[in-house]
Amino acid sequence: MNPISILWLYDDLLDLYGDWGNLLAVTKGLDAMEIPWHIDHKSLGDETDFSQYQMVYLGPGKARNLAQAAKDFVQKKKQVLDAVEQDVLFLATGNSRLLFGKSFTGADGETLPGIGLFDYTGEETGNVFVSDVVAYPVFAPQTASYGFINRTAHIHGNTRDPLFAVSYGAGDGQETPAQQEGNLYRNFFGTWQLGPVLVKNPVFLKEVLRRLTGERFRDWNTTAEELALKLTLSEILK
Amino acid sequence: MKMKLALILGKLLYLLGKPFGKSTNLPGELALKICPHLLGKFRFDGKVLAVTGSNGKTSTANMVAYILKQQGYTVAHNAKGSNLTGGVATTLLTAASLSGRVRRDFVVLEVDERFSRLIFRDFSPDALLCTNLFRDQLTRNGNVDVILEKLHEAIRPSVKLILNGNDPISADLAPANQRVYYGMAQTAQSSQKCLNITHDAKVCPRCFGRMDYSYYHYNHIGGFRCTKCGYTNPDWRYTADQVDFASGDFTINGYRVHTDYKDLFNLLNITAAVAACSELGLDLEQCCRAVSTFVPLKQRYDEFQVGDRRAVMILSKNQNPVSFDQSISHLLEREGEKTVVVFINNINHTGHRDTTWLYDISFERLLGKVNAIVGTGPRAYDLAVRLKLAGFPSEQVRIERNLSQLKAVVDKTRGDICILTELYDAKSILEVISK
Repeated sequence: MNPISILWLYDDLLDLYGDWGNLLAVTKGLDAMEIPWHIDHKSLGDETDFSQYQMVYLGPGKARNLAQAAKDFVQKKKQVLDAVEQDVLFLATGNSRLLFGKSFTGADGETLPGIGLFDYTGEETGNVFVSDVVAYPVFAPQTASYGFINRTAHIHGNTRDPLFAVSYGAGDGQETPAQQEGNLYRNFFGTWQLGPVLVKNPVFLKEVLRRLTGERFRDWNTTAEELALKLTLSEILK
Repeated sequence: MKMKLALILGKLLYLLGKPFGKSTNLPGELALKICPHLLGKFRFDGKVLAVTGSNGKTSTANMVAYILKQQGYTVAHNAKGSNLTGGVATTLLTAASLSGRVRRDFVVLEVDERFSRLIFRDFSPDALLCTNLFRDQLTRNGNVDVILEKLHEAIRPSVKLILNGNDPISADLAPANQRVYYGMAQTAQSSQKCLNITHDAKVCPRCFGRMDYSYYHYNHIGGFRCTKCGYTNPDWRYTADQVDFASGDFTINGYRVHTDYKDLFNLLNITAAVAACSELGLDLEQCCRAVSTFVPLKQRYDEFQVGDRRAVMILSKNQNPVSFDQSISHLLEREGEKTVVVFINNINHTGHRDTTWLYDISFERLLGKVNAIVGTGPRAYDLAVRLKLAGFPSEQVRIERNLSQLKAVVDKTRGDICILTELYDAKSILEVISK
């Protein structure tokens, strides 16, 4: 059986806060389906053939690290855009989303180009902003999900392909209650929510794995995850 | 005039609040309201040492104060970890005369790294010891770079730095300042691979090149070299070496030190304290002898009996995975059967439901080493998920969210009871377990 090849891009630079949990959840799901997998790590200056991978993960990072990643990532622009169009699954959590917009401006005022998959721009504020988020993903609009935002930047002009309809907490844009958050385009998933967002939301995890494994997908027991989510949501929405 | 009023009222409030346990922060906060620049008005007879860092600053500052007192010096010290602006002000105003003169041989101030630039706005220590810098309470602190920025704003050019030469991040603090380093040579418990999930120096803090480690003491603390720019452990003046984990003996620059608390992070904290005291002018051999009789605060680590079972409570800092990793290291040192009790709360200071930080803790190190893990607290089921993904069989994990029902669950387990929890939750869990 062909293994699922996963790339953790900039794992050394963009690793802020429990982000490894997402790959833990994906690989445990693959284990449950008895599908083999392997994870590669690539970073600054590494030759990267995105066509070799079924999934690419990018997590959030410190502002200085993100700026370094941005300078490298923009050189991979064509390969990344091609990979997205060829339905390679991307998951970008936290501020790594900024790499996929038109550009973002760091706290020092320097504006760095993104790869332009989306039209939004980003702006570092230098202020830590946190928010619980309850939102409904577009692929399961009746299912509430829980996430956590911890950021020092926001996004302007994200007008297409939202991932979530937000019912509680912040989304894109300013630090105020929002209507939508994130992006889902083909198999690209991008969200401000950080940490193990796939662990917290089994429906999200299963959507990712369904797309990743196709006909090989088999459901598995996520009762514990569902119970943890239910308790969290019941406390926030009471 | 304002200063005198602030000192009088602060001292009065200190005396009135002491019987009620309200004397650590409030007097200083009140005094600073009356005289906002009070901290800049004190005059010190002795040297002032500040101790900061992500982990170990309370223990290290306590050790420094202990060594100094053992040598017969008078010391003003915020011993109870009251390390914010109010706590520092309280410590100084209670030690000062009404003219603002602090008649102590030494002042030892534990300082929260986040508040350092506020605390040192109006005065500056003679020396600053930084134990380490890690990801820590990201909801409050932001990331390590944010903390570094705040420390750089706080540290004046005149401050002598005492730094951990095993930590590539804090070793590079305020590079223009005068500095000495301490460090620890590779030990039998150091590892070739990082045993922890949290590793904040995978890339070089100077040039972003990949870091290469010849050994790890814990997390990103160890023997490092950047594969790109060559940044490596600096030469250190104080070296911990020859660690005998069986006896708890080791050496600092050849002088024997003993401790019963033998974890690598504590050995480094001891070395830091000895280095600081030596830099303050004390005899190194005397410092080593004095620190060998130091007993850690029971507030952070306490052993007691629950019926016929031994119990130990090891406290971690809130949402600080490295601190939690250290608690795990400590309980792994214990021999015999054990049940681990873990209390997981919401984010303490904000009430957010996030449990992301659990994914930065290496619970995997407990696999096959414990009889059971009992999870409790508001986010106990999130812990159950974390443990499931770590590979614990479901029969080893018991969940009881309700603290009042916890005792019955723990009573059905075997071995020593090892309670791992955060500082703020310790009292409530202790009341239940020790009934």
